[in-house]
Amino acid sequence: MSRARRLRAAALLLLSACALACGGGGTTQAAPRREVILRTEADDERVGEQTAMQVGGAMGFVEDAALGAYVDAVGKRLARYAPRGGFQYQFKIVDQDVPNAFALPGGYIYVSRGLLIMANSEDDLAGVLGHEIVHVAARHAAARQGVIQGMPGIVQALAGGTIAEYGRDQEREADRLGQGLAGLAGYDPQGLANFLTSLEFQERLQLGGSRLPRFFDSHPATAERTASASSRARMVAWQREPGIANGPAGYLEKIEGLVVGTGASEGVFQGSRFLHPELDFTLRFPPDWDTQNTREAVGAISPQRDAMISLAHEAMGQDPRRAASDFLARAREQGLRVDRTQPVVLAGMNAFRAEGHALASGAALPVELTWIAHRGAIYRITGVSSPRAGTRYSGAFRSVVRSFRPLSAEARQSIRESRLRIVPARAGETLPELSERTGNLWNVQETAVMNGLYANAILASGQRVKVALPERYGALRRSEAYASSEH
Amino acid sequence: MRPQSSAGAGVLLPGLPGADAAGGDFLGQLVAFQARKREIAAALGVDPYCDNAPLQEALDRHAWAVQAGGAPLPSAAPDASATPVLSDGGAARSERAGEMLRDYSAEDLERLNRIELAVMGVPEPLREQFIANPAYSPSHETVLVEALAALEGTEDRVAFIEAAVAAQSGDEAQDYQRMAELMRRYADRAGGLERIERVEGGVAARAQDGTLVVPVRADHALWTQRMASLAESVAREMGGDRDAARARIVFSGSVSPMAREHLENLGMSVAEDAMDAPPSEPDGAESGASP
Repeated sequence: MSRARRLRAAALLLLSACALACGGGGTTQAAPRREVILRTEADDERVGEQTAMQVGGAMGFVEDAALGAYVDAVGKRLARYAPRGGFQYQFKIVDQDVPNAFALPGGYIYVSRGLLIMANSEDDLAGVLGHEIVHVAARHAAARQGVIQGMPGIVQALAGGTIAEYGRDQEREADRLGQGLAGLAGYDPQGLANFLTSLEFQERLQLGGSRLPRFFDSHPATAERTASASSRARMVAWQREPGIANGPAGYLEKIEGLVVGTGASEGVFQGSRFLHPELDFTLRFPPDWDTQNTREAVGAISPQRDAMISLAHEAMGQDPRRAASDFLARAREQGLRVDRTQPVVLAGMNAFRAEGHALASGAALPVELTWIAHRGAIYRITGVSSPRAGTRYSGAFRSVVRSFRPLSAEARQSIRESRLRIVPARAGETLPELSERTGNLWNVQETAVMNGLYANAILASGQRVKVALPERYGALRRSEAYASSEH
Repeated sequence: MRPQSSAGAGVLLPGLPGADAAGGDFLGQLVAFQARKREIAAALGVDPYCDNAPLQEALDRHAWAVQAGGAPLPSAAPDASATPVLSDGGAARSERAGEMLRDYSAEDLERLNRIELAVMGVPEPLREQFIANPAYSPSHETVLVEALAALEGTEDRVAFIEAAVAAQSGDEAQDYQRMAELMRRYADRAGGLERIERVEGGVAARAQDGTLVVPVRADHALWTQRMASLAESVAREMGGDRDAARARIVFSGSVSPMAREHLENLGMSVAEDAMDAPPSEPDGAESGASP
């Protein structure tokens, strides 16, 4: 089990104990799974619509209307040639750093930010979207399971890849017909093959690391799909139609400025210190603890895996006492024994504190809860430790709570994130030289994969190369100013 | 206009359950009715687009009743007494083609076929000419295209469409459909086909061992002038060295003794009932020089 998975497992153990005892808090018991049967196209549309509403919450969307409209336009151009014309196809960009694409029944299709970054042209993008459209049009989801599990499971699966994969034949069919769709829409069917090639190299780079999910974590293996797609592309009858973007360079212009890797808008760690530029706060976790930041909460687990502390958004409002009262009323019903409560002031902010024990599996886990009012929101910091640890971590919990404060201007200035920039190469330049000159954060192999180049490529004058550059959080998405990188 | 292009479109819609006087959810009802009709046809193992008028009427009546909620979907194929209304090929059609005919509307089938043809490399003008050919019902077209699509890796499938586009009647369309199915069946069992070739009066395929595979749709083939012409064409393709060049005539049905004798005298081997051959046999009942 990888370190990340061990960490997650330990976190889940403690979280589930806390959830049991602190019911009504941020973590709730999973609802019983509901069977969803996709018998008809109407079922596809209904289930797809319901599930699509949860995708944004689970994964988030890239907030760039122009780029979103562009991806939607490419997808709709392909969908004109697809069967099941009754489906209202929609194409959106999920805020996920790994290259990924997936489709929900009924025509809801998603590509990730990481996929857009890995693609090198509209042809590549069209190949991927064509593939996903075929999954929808051929109703592969219905054929795959007949019965699929309930919505939360689907969304979990989309985020984590636990749902059954499409079958081998379905993947092959989606590749084959997806390339045909691309060709009919005036895109080079080689686009899918090019993208799969980049992906294959990416997988090799990540060998031993976490696998890429969904679109790629499939059978047949990427290498086989790449070879088939490439050979098929030479056969497809197609005629080039002008793209929506102006050639590969136009595509790169569209995607320039996308965040590379994990963005800072949902908070970043600087060592053990967590900074959230959008919610305007910072707090510091104990130095040796393993930290995790998710869409729902940020937290840390002790090195011995016997304590965890997390911060989550509890409610909107100004009154931490009221938020605490509401929470504790629910939590008491589920086994939380409250020993002590008191109002406190932390760095000038109103707060409310409760101590007690959560009863889980016959054991009493020490729990410390603090509600803090900040910028119109109430945050809850929850510290839980194992019964054996007792109150050993009380000091650490309080230290974390006391470190919560608004971001200073200096701290805000220190937040960095990586953004995709397109830089022109100099004649005869190599990738290491270009990276050195521009301050590219990707290593040579990553840069080669992301650009569909060999690592030892000799670049031509003006050749556009994708690089990842560290930039201050809040910098312009489009960097007109970056032309200076050429010099 | 394609007479068979829309399953169920010919029935009287005002009586359709759920449709109000103003038309109501007219399109929705129509789509649902057509879907019911395709499901019934699939369950009965018949072609929802066939031009057999009594069968179409029966399908319409049953679909109407199911749509109205007064009748269940049939769950089993009809007994043998019903088979005369079936156009040939219903039973032999590939499972996937059967699912496509059941699950997709005629318009969707046309779109799917267009994509598949593009993937095979059929250029747009020929593609559209083939799709617009009124001799082909959606069923003919879909089964044919699906069989060719399954021959991925076989060179020059375009040659088949170049020949098939010339069909001028439903019967000729069915010939080509069956030829494509026979080729697919041969490829499945013999491990693939190298390429498709035009021969005088039709199409053939070259197997990977060099054998010329000539598919022929016939319930029972007699030694007729047409058969003799076909044999002469194949013999010309084989050239002078008949020991080196092999040809195999693959029939969907049986062959008369005289036809067999003539073909074998010309150095050709004959396979009968190729669509029904058990998996242990490459392409049907064996006779003559084996490939």
